[in-house]
Amino acid sequence: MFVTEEFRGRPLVDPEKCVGCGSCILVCPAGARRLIQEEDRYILRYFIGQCIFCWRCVEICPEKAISGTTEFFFATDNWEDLFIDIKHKTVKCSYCGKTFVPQKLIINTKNKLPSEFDFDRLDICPDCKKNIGALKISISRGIAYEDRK
Amino acid sequence: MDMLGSGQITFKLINNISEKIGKNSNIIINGKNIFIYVNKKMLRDIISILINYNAIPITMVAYDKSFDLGKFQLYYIFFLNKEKYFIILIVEINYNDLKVSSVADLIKGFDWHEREIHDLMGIEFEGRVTPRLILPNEYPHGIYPLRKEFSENFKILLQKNIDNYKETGAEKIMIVPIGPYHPELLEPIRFELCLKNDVVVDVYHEGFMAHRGIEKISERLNYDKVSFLAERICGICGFCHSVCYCQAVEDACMIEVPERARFIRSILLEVERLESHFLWLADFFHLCGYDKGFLEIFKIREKIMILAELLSGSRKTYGLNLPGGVRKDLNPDKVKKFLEIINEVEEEYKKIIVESLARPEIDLLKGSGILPYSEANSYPVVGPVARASGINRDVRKDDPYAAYQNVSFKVPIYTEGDNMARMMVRIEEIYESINMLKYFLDNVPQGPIMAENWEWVPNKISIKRVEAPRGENVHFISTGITKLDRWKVRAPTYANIQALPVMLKGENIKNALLTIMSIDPCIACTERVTILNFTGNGFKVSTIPFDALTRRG
Repeated sequence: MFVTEEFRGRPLVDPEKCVGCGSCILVCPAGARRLIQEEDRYILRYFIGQCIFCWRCVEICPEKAISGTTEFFFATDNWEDLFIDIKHKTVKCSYCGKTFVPQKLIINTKNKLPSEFDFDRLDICPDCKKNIGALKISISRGIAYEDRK
Repeated sequence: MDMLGSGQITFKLINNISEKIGKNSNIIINGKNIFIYVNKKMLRDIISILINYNAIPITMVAYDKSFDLGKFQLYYIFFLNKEKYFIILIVEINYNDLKVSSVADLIKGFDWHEREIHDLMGIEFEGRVTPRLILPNEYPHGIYPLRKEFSENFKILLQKNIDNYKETGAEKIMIVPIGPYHPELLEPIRFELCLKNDVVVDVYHEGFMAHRGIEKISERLNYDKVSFLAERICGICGFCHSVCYCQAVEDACMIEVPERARFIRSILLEVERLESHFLWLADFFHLCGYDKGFLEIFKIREKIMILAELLSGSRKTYGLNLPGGVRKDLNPDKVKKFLEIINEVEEEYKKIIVESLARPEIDLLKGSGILPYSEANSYPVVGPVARASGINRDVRKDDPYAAYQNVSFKVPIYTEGDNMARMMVRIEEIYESINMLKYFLDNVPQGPIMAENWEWVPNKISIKRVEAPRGENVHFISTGITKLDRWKVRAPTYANIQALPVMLKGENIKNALLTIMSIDPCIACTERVTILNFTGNGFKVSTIPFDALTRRG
């Protein structure tokens, strides 16, 4: 069996390049890519059974970590062969201690930002950022701030 | 009113209607769409005016606006073929009084639409019976799955009561069920042919066994994902559906699609037409008993499949459309290879057709399954079925989309209305498609393939049509704040099956399968025969379900 070079087969993710930003999950029309949140890690799970080989993820990946192949034959005896997982270590929020983003994403973002940026704020989760913002506003207006935790 | 420009007949028609409605007439003209708000009581009068002006009934949509307006809206969509205006009658129905008078006796094409709306939205049509069309008989009454209040997580347990059915003795009328399960063909649909001495006297249809509620799914998806969903409505003409959906979004959001993208869309639409017609032709030859033709046609169809893969990256379900353009570009190498292969295909195809039309097996088709012009006009038939009965209707000519205004082509018309005519229409369409493909590939303009910098426009209504291999697709969309609020699809077979009883009545049983296949719904024979009681007052329409038969071993 052969196919032409233009054939859209299974998309493959390079685990070294992947930073776990999740844009492929947002864009997948068939729901073949999913995010599973565990206590200290995030899993990006790809299930071939649901994939329609549209290559939207290949187009959209900001790190060019996903590349297309011409593979199309996936018959197997073992159900688990159809899943491909990419595991990411997560970072804990320096205020509340909740896990919120993959470690690699933070490192990647640091490399892209200009050096004068306030890097301490990168490991604060969005909820805490809101609280800190509210606190600053209330202090500047002279209103007593109740701790929302 | 002066916005209409050259639309003299439309102008007259609208004057006529606004006189009928009186002082409170509410008519909105928006480009080529004319929206007319109609009172329930006047509906039948206004529809008979539209029939006098030869407006073509396109489709009917029910729209649940109970969350924002507290009302249901019914859209009756007509098309004026000469001046190319859509006329959309809007009837508003209050939530407490869900009744409206039926128009199915005036327009036979709205019969199924009314039954579907009664099933899914719970609107009652006065003056007719609305037997269930889409929902199964076991489904509880009073639950309407397309209303906004209905949640997808709602689980319903169906209970079959098979004790009501009893097998009875045999008498003169024999009922031959065809479908829904058959080893050769794929689609779950069931016909019951009532036979009297080998002649079909009546036909019953039962379908929608795999109704998937795809219109409801679209309400939770992002708009660019819906174009992939639309492609999965049909396995054979999926690209037409996704083009139709994208064009509707482009119309609603006022997106200018680049010329190159329009050409690429047209090329793929024609490739898909070739794929579909070759598949149908091969199957039809096989049913006639001419298996050499079946093999030869499949051999050249494979070449077309490789062409599709070369252009789009996939043999079927190309997945190339997004609102605003296409995702994959052409290059000179591909065009060169494409032209080489398409020339080969044309030569081989000519040989096969000359050889097969001289075969004795094909003579069976002449004079069987006739749909005369008068009957075809009163039913909503579209596509090759309409063109074989002398109706000159082709959306590519009547209301050009994509790049069809740039190319000249013939629309084959036959007036016999029999199976042979339906085959000849498709055979000639293949030649036209090949010629069109050559023209498109030679003249693809340079430029971008995707429109950029556009924004989603909420609260817009748009209707678009695309000529699929089997007839015309109609997509109605209404945009919500970030997603679609209502999406209604009318596929060509929905319109064509309604005319099938006319073709089958009076026909010998040996031609029945060919006639069913000739409208291209992909349904074939089954060997199981059930014998039912003939009461004398009419035919008793009850069948024995599979469970009841197996219970006796």
